[in-house]
Amino acid sequence: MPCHYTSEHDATEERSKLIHLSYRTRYIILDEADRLLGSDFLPQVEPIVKACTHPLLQKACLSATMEAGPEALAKTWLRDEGVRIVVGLK
Amino acid sequence: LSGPEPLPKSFKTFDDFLPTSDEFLRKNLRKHGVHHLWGVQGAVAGALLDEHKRDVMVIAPTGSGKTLSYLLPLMVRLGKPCRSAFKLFKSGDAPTAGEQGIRSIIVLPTHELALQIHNEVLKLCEGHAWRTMLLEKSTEKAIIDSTKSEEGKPALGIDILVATPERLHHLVSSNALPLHE
Repeated sequence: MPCHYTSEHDATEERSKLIHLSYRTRYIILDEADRLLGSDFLPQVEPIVKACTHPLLQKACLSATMEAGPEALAKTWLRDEGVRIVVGLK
Repeated sequence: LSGPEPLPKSFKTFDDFLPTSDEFLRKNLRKHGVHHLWGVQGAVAGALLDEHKRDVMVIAPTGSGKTLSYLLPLMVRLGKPCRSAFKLFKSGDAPTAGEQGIRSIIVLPTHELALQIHNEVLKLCEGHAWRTMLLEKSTEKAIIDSTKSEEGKPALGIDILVATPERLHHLVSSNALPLHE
C-alpha cells in the first residue's frame, strides 16, 4: 500500500525510526475517521497506526459518517474487529 | 452496540467510571457545564474501559458528545500524568514503560480540528500536571525532545499528543528523530 521501500535495508531502518517514536504509545484515536481513512490521508495515517507497535495498543475510530470501504479497512486494524457503536441512525 | 461477545457494559453516570480518588476531572467537567453523561459517552467509555481493552468504531452525529466520549476514558486509562513518573524517577523510582514516551495520540484531519480538540483537552486538564501537546511547527522540536532520554535522565514524555496526519507522519518517518533510546 502506501509504503514503498526501495530495499530491505531501507525498510528496516525506516521501521526502527517509527518504533522509536511510538513503541510506548498505548492509545491511538482517529477522530473524523471517515476522512482519515479516505484516499487523501490514508497514505499518512496507515504508517502512523502501524508504527504504534505496543501489543496492548488500544484503538478508537470515531466519525459522524462511515462508508463501507473505510469501515472495512478500519476493522482490519481493530482487535477482534472492535465494538461497533452507532448512535442516532435510523 | 454490536461486535464479538461478550459486549461491554455501557456506563450510565460519571460515577460509574471516573476515579473517586481524584476529583479533578469532575470539577473541570462541571466548570465547563458538563453535568450529565450522554448515551454515546457511556457506551464508548464502557468499551474502552472494559477489562478486555476493546477497540471501538463509533458512528455518531456531530454534537452527540463524541469528543468527551474518548477523552474521558483516555484520561482514566492514563491514570497519572507522566510528569509524576518523572518526579518518581528523580527520587529513585524508575517509571514504568507505560508512563514514558508519547503515551497517547489523537489524530484529526485538519489543523483547525486538532486545535479545537486540544483546547478541549486543555479544559479537562486544567489545574493538573498533564503534559499535552498540539503538533505544529512551533512545537515539533519540543515533541521530538520529549521522546529522547539522556543518560541518567528519562525522556520527559507526553501524555496526550494531538496531531494532523501530515505532520505526524513526517515526524515518524523523518531523520529529525534520534535513533538512540
